[in-house]
Amino acid sequence: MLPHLEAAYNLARWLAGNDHDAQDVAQEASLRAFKFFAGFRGENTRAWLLTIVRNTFYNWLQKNRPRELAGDLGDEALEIEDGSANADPTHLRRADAETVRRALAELPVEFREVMVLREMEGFDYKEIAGLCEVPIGTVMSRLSRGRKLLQKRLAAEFKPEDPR
Amino acid sequence: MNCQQARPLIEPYADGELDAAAVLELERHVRECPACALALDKAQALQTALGQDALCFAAPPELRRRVKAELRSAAGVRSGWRWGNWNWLSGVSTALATASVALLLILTLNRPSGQERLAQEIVASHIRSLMANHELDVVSTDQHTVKPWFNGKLDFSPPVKDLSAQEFPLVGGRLD
Repeated sequence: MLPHLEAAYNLARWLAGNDHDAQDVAQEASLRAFKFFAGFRGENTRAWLLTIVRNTFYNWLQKNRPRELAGDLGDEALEIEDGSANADPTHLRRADAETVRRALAELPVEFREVMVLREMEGFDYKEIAGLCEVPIGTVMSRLSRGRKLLQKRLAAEFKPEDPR
Repeated sequence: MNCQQARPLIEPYADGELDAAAVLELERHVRECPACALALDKAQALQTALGQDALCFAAPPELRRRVKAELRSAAGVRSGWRWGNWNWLSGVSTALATASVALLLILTLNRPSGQERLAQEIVASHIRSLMANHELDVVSTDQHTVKPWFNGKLDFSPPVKDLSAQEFPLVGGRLD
């Protein structure tokens, strides 16, 4: 499980939001993966490990911060549509890691996880759908909504620096 | 392709999820439509922003150490068990080998010469099977599995006896 520990920790860190909890989740997931590895019949070990990280995280969340599970995506999704209108590609390209990190960390976890899996871990729609146990259509709509929301937040970040 | 058709394809295009035909159509549309071209530019700019290596969190060294240690101890438990199992097996096979050597010695020493030749043949074929590491053709402790196994392989039906009572448990059969 060690070769994919970086990916496991990165996902756990993005999901849990802090280092301490992320380490707990990544460690528990690695051990669980090791225990069940004999029964693993797939090809993509990394995707399989990240599935375990994700499940471990949601179990952990239910135990430790059950309130966050009740998050309702509905309202926020409705107001996203015009969000990207202000986004300027030049600004987006120049956004520093710290700003992007802060904006992404604020997204609801359902959006955050598909975006991390797509943009950082490079999984395709089908792999993400398998990993998150949702239909591909859901992956696409979560990615799309997450991106619009992120563009909106980043656009808001740039405004004070660059008034027009 | 018009804008209404193009818009939902822009992100999948940027994600490399479109098939070749759709890619060509979308690229043709984007060349002619500034609004869709801007939408694509934004999507790609956001990917650039999210693609920065600095966004990935590196696993802390102490996590790597802890996981390594835990995996090692978990693996230790497992291989310890295997080792124990292997000891048990090798103990049994040593006992079996000793028992069969003793039996053959008794046979060799106490029986008339006709039996002696048979014993030698048994020893020789047993040694051959040990050299090839192939002691059994059919592995079973059940007479009723071992005996039928010889059906059709021999022109007679060999007696298959379970000598557990004499401390020679049946482990299977082999055809030489």
